[in-house]
Amino acid sequence: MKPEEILDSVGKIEPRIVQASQVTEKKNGKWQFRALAVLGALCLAAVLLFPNIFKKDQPSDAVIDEPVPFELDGRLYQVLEEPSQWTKYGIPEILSQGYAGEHRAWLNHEEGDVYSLSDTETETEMLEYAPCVCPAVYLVKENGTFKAAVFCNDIHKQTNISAPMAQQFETWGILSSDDIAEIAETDWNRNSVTGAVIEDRETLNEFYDLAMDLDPYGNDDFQAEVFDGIDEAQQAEAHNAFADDLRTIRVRNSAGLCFWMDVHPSYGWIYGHGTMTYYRINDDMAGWIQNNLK
Amino acid sequence: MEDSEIVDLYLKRDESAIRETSARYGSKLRSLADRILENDASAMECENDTYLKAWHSIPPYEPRTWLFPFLGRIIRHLAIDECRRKNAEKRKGVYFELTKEMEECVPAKGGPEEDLNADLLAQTISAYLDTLGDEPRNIFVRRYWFFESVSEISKRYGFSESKVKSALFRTREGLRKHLEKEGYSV
Repeated sequence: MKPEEILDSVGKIEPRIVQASQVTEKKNGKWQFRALAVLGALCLAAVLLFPNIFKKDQPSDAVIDEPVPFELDGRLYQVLEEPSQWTKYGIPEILSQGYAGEHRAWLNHEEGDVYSLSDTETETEMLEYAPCVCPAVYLVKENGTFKAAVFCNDIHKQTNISAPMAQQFETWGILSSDDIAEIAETDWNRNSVTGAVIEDRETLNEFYDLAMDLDPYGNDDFQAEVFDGIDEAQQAEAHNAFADDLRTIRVRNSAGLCFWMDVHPSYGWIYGHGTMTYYRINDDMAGWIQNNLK
Repeated sequence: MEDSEIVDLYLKRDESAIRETSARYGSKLRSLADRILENDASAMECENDTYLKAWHSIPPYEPRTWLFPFLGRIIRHLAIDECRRKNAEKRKGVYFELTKEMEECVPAKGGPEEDLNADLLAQTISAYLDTLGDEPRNIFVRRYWFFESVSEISKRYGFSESKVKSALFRTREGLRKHLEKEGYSV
């Protein structure tokens, strides 16, 4: 069988299938959704700052021992060299040309695991991840082998930047509630599922809708809300107590990609990894957490 | 004029059938051919040939409820033939681009190859598309039946281009698996 024979036969599919595709259905609200996310992204640029210094024994999205990130379009990426590093993101263990989409960029690969963008063609190509074309995951092709480049952080110009929840979801290819396939509670280092696994469509839709409604706070505003007024001698203890309240949830999208969110239920906050934004949990979301993260 | 009335004109051998067809579907048919051929004049030639072929095909066909897909199938076939003839050596253009994408649907090597029955293969593809939701099915059809670009599809349905590309990838992969399951091989 040749590819052109398949393409020719597509021309003979049942007419009703062709007719059904002629309905032009634009999803209202999508552009507003995207505009909001783009607006948030436009506010971000240049210097990376990590908000997690107060978190105890908790993983940051870019820690010292991990690969050096490089910048692309206002985001930082790490090239993961080993399958064991990328499979936790839901990326298949064996990557091949079949997973490669369109060309995205050329990279310089310096010694070790140091990568940077190149203005000219090199032997290291960054390609879209075809199963889920989104800014969170790319493939890196080098000498015929494939690795994964995974989003770690938006780049922030100021310390008090906040981004709507939509931005984090969109980064991971979630444009509507239907794009969430599963939510599961994991251990703090994200290696294993420790609690509820939610696959019920209605429950997932509810989570998405509630998350969209949460108010975003930049790091300074968040710190002021939670820790202002606490005596300086007690600050370290207060930060540790906040970190101890952590419950990590893993969101898996419909293409299998995973990202994580930190929930601090007792304090009423969610931290969106990579966005440097905290979201204040409202009563409805608190109810959802209580009912579903058992 | 409604499709059924136009088909009646064909059945009565009334030549105004062609004028009415052109008025109703001319521009859509031309743009389909133009996407494949990337040439206005050639697209127009294909459009005229399509009317002639329709004139000779109705009857016996009576596509009262599917006149556009019927005509579209004809012009698509004519335009692809023309494209192959003109660009066989260059292998440039949307047709060859989509053919390359279709390589992902070709089943893995397996049993003995049989003569391919295009109608049967079309039925198999239809059956697979029926298993999909509206979104991926329509995106696939707009890409591989209408030859629309990813950008056109994203505008039509209000999806991001990324979503369209991902949906196409998954659908192609799903089609390959379906064809393998149905016993097709290289």
